[in-house]
Amino acid sequence: MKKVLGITLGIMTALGGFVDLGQIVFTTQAGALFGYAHMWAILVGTAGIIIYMEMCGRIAVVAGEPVFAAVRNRLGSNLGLATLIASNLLNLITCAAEIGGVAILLHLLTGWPEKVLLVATTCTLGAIVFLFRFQWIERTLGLSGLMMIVFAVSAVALRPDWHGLARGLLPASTQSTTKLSLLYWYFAVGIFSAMLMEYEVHFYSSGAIEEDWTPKDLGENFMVSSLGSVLGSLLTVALLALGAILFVPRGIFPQLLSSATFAGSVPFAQKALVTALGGCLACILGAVIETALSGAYNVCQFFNRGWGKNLPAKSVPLFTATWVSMFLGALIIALTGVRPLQLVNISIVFGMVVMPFTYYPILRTAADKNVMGKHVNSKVDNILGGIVLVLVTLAALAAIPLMMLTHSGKP
Amino acid sequence: MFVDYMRQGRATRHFADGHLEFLIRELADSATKLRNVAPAPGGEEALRTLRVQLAALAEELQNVRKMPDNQPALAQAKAHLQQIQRVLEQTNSSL
Repeated sequence: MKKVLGITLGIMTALGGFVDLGQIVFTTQAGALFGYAHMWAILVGTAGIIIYMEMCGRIAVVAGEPVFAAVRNRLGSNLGLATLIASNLLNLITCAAEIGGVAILLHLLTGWPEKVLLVATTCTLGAIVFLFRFQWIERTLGLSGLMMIVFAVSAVALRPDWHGLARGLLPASTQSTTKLSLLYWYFAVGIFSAMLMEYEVHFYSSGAIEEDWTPKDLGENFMVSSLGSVLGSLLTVALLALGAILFVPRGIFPQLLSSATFAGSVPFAQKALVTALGGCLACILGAVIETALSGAYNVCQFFNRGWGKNLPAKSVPLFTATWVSMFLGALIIALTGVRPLQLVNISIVFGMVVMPFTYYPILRTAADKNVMGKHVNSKVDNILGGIVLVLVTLAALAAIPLMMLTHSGKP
Repeated sequence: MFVDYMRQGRATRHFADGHLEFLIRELADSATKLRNVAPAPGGEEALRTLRVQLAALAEELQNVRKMPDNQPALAQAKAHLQQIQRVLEQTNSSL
């Protein structure tokens, strides 16, 4: 019974924490421009994150090796260090974007000034991370994120074109103009990248060690990574559908988080709007903490120094100093006034570029019988993992050219 | 679309004010970009129209922000906004 409860909680937490600022806005924009035509990108992204999240969890449990230790071991010191620097810069930019998103949502809820909310949010989150245990933080925010279900309910209530949804499972190979084709592929890469953001696998593998998972928990690892991701991807589909239903007929391209948010409550009354705001807030708060902690995990794991949220802060000084610095650095960036959605564009595109350097070591380690023993990848795991890695690499090569040619996705 | 949402009482006060504030900010950015644009030959009139309509749009949104609960004012604002949208679409198609 306790085991079932633990697995259920894990799945719900993964569901509630699946989306972040980038996914909310990018997916809604993709729906607003191309209707349901990016369903296949969501499907491929979901398959990718399930495969690699399960591998990360398995490596962490069996080999006791979190992601960045695998990066160091497989890529070597120099390339590994470059990957660390790039990943942590991305974590910092993403953290700043997410903090900015939190300030926007709180402003929409309370009317208080954004800059005050930026400082208050950062201080409050810092205190929460300092005071509370890993499991409590993860579960509270993950379960609160279940309020995002209002987006799915709204999408169904507005009667999506189910045939169109199904047709979107195949890539549309051509669009009417070159500009539209480039935009189409920009958003495909963006959705794919947003679903596979590195900080998610860094955080997940570190979390498996924080929660003292053993090989007995590999079943839970599989259930959380697969079911949690499938249910979470349904929220992403809902965002796409809302973009298609509400914005396509009106020729609207939603450039604001507030536009994407109220789309989640259009059929209903004010309480639904507050629920949609609450759901987005929980998910984005979770992303702030995940990116800050991922930065700290990455540094300590690469340099083989002590780390752990559940350890006394003074006993892991580098870990503590790094996550505090991540919060402060993100706050400083956010206070400069740079728009969170601009930062999100940067993090999604450059995140794609760095992705192969994180995912390749994961696949190599999970396929290494010397490390994994009887829990090594099966042939199917290797084939699927290899296919995803090829797609990640192709998307990485295309990301920056597409960003430049489309002016960061401007229609 | 958002004005209809407000007229139906679905937006909270803070959300309506905040969303309109963000929309006005985006318009101000667009207006700044338009001010710095040199028109292509034959496009001066269209550019002038765009600038005028953006200013009208920003003013209308400011009015809506001041009277979020005034149903007649919101209805009037919706009509004005639809008019601005028609002019912008005509101008866009002529470019």
